[in-house]
Amino acid sequence: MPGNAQDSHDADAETDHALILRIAAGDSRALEALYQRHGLALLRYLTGQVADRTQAEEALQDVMLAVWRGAAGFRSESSVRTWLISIARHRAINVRTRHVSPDHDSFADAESTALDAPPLIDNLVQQSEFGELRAAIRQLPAAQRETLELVFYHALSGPEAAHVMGVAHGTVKSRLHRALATLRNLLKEAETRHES
Amino acid sequence: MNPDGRFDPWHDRLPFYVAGTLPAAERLALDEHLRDCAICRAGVTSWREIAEAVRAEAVARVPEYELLPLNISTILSRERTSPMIAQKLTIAERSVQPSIRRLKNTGWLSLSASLLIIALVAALALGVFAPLLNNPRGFSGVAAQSSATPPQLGELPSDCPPAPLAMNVNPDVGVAVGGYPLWVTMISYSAALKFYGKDQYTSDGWPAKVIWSVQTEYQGELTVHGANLKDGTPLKFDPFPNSASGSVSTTLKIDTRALNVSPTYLHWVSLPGAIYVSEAGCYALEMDWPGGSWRITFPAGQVTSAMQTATMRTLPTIIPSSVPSLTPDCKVTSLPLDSVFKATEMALPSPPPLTPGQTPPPLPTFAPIPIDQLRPPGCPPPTPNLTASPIPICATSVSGVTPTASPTASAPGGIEIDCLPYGTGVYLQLCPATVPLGNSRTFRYVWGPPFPPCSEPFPMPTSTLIPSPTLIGTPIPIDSPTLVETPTTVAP
Repeated sequence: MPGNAQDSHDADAETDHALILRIAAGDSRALEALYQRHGLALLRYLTGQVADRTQAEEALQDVMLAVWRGAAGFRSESSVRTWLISIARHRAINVRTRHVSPDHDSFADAESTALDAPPLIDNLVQQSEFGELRAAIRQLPAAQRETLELVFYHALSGPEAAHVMGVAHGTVKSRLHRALATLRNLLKEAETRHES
Repeated sequence: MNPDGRFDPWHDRLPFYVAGTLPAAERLALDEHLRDCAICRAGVTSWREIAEAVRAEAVARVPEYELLPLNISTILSRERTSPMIAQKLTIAERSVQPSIRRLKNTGWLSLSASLLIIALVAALALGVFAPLLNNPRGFSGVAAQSSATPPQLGELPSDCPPAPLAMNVNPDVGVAVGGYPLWVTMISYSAALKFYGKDQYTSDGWPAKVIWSVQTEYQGELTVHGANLKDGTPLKFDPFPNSASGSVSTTLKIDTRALNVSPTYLHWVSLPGAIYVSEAGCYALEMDWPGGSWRITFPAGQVTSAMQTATMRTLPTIIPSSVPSLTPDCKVTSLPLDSVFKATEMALPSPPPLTPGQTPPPLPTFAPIPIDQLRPPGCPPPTPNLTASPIPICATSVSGVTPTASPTASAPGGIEIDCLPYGTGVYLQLCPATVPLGNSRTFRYVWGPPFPPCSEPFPMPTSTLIPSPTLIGTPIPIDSPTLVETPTTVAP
C-alpha cells in the first residue's frame, strides 16, 4: 500500500477501484486481493493507533467487513487507500474509546507542542543516530506521529492526509513542521544526555 | 522561514516532495528551486531521514509475516446475516465479548480473540446457536441459576490421576488438550476446570467456560461425554450445533458438516461452550468419532487463595528486578517483574499443590539454541561472552511472548507473557536487538537497546522454529547475574 511515486500511486488506485467494483458485485476474491494488497499497511497503521495488538487485528477484520458492506457506496471521491485508512482510523478511534490506553492519552495533547512559525530546517537530523531518531519519533505527540506516518509510510498527499484526519490541509503542514521541531528538541536532549 | 526572516513557501512542500506525493508540476518547480536553495536541500535531507525512520518504525511494528490471512468465510457469513439475526449477533457479541476479554486479561488467550468472536458470529449466522438465542438461560446459563442456596463446589483436588499436558496446538487454537479432530481449551490453560469464586451456580451445576476447536478437515459427527470418576455423575455440556432442544445435556454432539465451512478457507472452527460439574472432583472426558477416540482425566474445583499463594511460592523467582549489564553492547536495564510473575503463574497451573516434603517435578533439560541463530542477518556477530553464556530465564519453551512496547535506550520495553501451559517458561536472550522467532504466534523476544537498522527487513529465521512444547533452555541460578530455579516445597 505505501508508495512513493505519484505515478505508481495512480496506477495502483485504478486497480484498487477495479477491486472495489468487483467487491461491490459480491466477488469475495476481490476482497481477499484487496486485503493482500493493503492489509499489512492497515495493520501497521492500526497498531500505531491502538496499543493492543489483538485489538488492532480485530479492528482490521472490522475494516474488511466494512469494505465488504460499503464497497457499493464507494464514490471514488478519494483514493481507495485513503478510504481504507479513513475506515481504519474510525475503527481505531472506536477501540480507543472503549479501551482507554495510557499510551494514547497523548492524543489529548496532540497540539501541545505549539510553535508560532515553521521551524528552521537544519541538518540536525543528519547528525543524529538513526536509532535515536526512531526513538524520538516514538515520543512524538500522537497527532504528529500519525501525520508523519500518513505522509511518509502511507504516502498520502497533503489533502489526502487532511481528509483522513478530518483536518484542514494547513493543519497537516503545521503538524509536520511541529513534528520536525519536536524531533529536533528530542534529539538535542538525547545529545545532551550522551555528553553528560 | 529563512535565516533572513523571509518565509519560504517551498518549505511546506518539502515533506511531500520527499514522500513523492507532490503534483508533477510542483515537483519539477521544486527541483529547480533546490538548485539555488541550500537551506531547502538541507531540509530535504532531514525529511528523507525522518521519512526513512518513520517507515522503519511502521515496518518494525508488524513484520510482514505476521499478517494473518483474511477470514473471508467469516466475513461472508456475517454479511449473509439477516437484519434480525444481525441484531441478535450484536447482542450475542456483547454477551460473549466480556467473557473473552476477561479470559484475555487473565492471560488466557494468546490467539486472536477476534478469531473466536468471529467463529462464534459465524456459528450464529449459520444458525447453529439459534436455540441459544431463544433460550432465556442464555449462553452461560446464569439466568437459570437456582434461587436456593447453591451447594458448595469444593476445593480443587490434588490427588487425581495424571492429567495430560496442555499443548500449543497451533497459532489459531492456542493451548488446548484433546486430539484430532477436537480440542478443548480450559480456562486454566491446562487439563483442569478451575473455579475462582466468582462463578454462578446453575441448576445444571457449576459451568466452566471452554472453547471447543474442531478441525474442519474432518467432516462428520463427534460425541463428547464425561463423568466424575468417584461416582459416575455425568458432566454436562452447553449445546452445540446439532442440539435441537438447546438445553444442557450429558452428551455433546458435534457435526462438523453443520458448521458449513470450507476446510480450504477455515481449517479450524473454535466455538465457546461450557462444561458443568456438580462438585469438585476428578473427572474423565471422552471424545468419540468414527476414526477413534481420546480420553483425558482432569481435576475440577475451587481454587482457594491458599492454593494461589502456594502456587506463587512454588514459582521459581526467575527474574530479578534488574539485570546487570553483561557487555557494553548487551544491556538489560530493567525487567517487568509483574508481567513475568504473571507469566510464571500461568506457566505452572498444574500439577496441584505439593504436599509437605514433596519436591516439584524436575523440569526437563534441553539444549540452548546457539545465539548466532538469534542474530538478525547483517548484524555484527554477538560477543564471545554472550555466545558462551546465553541467559535462559527459566526452563522450556515459549508459548506466547508479546512485547508491550518497543524497547528503546531511554525506555526499555517490557514483555508480556501469557498462554504458557505447564512446564513452559521463558527464554530470553540478551542481545542488542529485539528478535522475533517462530511463527506469528510463537515469539521469543530478545531484550535490549533499540533495534539496529541492519535488521530490517528481518526475515523469519525458519531454521529456529520451535514447535511447542519443544524445550529450548535450561534453568540456571538466579543470583545475579545468573539465574536459578530452586526446587521448593510448599506448605499445605
